[in-house]
Amino acid sequence: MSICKNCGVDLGEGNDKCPLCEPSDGIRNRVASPADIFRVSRIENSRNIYEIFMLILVSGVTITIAIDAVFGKGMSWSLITTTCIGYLIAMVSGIYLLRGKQYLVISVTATATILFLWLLDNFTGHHGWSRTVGLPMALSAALLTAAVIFLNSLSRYRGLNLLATIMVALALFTVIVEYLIDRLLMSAFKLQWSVVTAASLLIIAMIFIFIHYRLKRGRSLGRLFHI
Amino acid sequence: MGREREIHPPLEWMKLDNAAKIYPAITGSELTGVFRISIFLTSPVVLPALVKASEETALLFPFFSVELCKGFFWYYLEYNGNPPRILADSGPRCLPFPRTIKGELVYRILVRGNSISVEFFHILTDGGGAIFFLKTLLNHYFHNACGITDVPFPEVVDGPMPGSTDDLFTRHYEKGIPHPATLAGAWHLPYSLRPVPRFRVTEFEIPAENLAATSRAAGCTITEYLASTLLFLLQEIRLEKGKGSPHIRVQVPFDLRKRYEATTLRNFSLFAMPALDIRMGHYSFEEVIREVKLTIQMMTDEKRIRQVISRNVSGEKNALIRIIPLFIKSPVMRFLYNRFGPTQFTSTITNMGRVVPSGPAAEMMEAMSVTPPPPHSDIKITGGLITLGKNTIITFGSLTDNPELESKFVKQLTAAGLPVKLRGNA
Repeated sequence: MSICKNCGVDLGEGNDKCPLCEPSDGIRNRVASPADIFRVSRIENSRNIYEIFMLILVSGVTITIAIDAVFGKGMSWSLITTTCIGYLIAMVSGIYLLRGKQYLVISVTATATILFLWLLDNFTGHHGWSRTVGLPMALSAALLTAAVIFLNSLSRYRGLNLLATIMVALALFTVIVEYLIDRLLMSAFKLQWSVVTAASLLIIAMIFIFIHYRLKRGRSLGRLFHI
Repeated sequence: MGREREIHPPLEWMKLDNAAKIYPAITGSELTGVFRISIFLTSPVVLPALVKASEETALLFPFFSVELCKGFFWYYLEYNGNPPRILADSGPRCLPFPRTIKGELVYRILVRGNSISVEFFHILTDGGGAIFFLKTLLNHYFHNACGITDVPFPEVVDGPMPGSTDDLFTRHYEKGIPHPATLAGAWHLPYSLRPVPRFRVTEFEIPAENLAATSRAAGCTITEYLASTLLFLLQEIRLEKGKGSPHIRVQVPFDLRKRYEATTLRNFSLFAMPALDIRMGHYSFEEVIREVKLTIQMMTDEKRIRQVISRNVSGEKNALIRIIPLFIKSPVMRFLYNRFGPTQFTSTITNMGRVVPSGPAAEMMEAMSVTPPPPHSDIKITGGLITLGKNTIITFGSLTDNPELESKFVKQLTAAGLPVKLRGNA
């Protein structure tokens, strides 16, 4: 007679592994206790939502191409709608299929964004804005997001300090945006509105950091804003 | 063959019975509507024997192999033929059943060490149906584990009888019967709630013979005695706290199967609601017992039962309510439940009765317990009890950390000369 050390049941003749505590099925669908069922339920839920979303998007592509082909006698404006929906498909699939792998998600979504902007630029007259503004803006957004995630992973408690990091990243991003737009429109860089926005964001970030480390002592966002 | 056809009707889907209709709308992660019945054996559960027994039992109860589905106007139960999950009993009790997993049943079997538990969502059955299932499961388990052919529960050896899936509430509905009077709001325990997960369980063991003798000496049944004890203590706490509604009421569920000679395994029970109005002055324990006896006697009268059933079913029969889509009906039902449901009573105590095993397997069963569904956040504490052989186990399910009521309850019983043993606190 062998008894499971965990749940204490008699495993019967010739069994040394408890099927309740160590189920043989895949880790993702492993159900050992009632609480596990909810993890599986969440996985199934997100899969259902993803499938519905994909169905709607693919239907959108089909319908717009069909309308353009029938009434426009070819593919003209539907190229743009198809590109937009294709971009959405890439973004949603990247986020859903690579969930848990944050840096990979950033790489894939950044690549999809750059490709999307380049295609839009090409379909709307090839002015080159995707190379001069779109590419650096998408890259800087991806790098700043990665930096926020990295800094967040170093923090023991994720509370208002996370919001502060996001504010600092946004402040930097506004400066980059103004620089890129100035270069595109005027070929000369002069700091103006971005300084005001960045300064305001930095002040709010400092207040958040003060509250987080001095007043709330690392209270988590979940506790602070729970509904 | 005829009977077989009747027991196993074309199983595609079933309507929820009248008592079950409210549950999908009001239940969630805390108010789960899930109750548990456990049996404690004298030796560790033999898992392969239990797995085989659960498969054999599930075949006898095809109408339990159903999942909860959403229709346009009502929820319904759809047959999927799956056997129940057998899970390690390692987490909190009475967790809800997820509704998003395809094929997920609304009952499960849990096992840990010497104990086997079944947890049922109230939409499927009530305590009577759950005990019937557990007895059948144990008959098969002892046969598989120890080769015992002299089954411990011969009364269920034939399995479910014809009519097991009938909704008898709708069958006993009569049009035109006046509704019972609406009650004024009852007082509620003022304790603060525990952090999530809130549900906490405390179990006490009492020798069944002593409890029966004490109740007999007080001139009442065990149910009446314990309901009176609870009502009396609630009165004491209400008077100590000094404010709130003067009405204190305890819900006491009673099974209707014996009265109507029913074989249904779906919900078929109602509540008696003994009450005290403290504006009338303080009630002594003897006076409380008299109130409880009279109320239970009155509420279990056939005319009163017909009146309550007709009130409950009339909503379901109303043409306007029937054609309202579920996405409107559910929030309205939830609102009405919160407005008129838990406001009517202070607490609940349910007696599942006495389970009497026979034959050699009787020696292998030590005790049984029943865990009532986690109560509404207004009610906070409910109780349940069941007797197996010589042991009665009283279980309190609570959403608060304040043990005042449980501790006063035990003190009251020990003061009456009953030896009470704390069995577990989880």
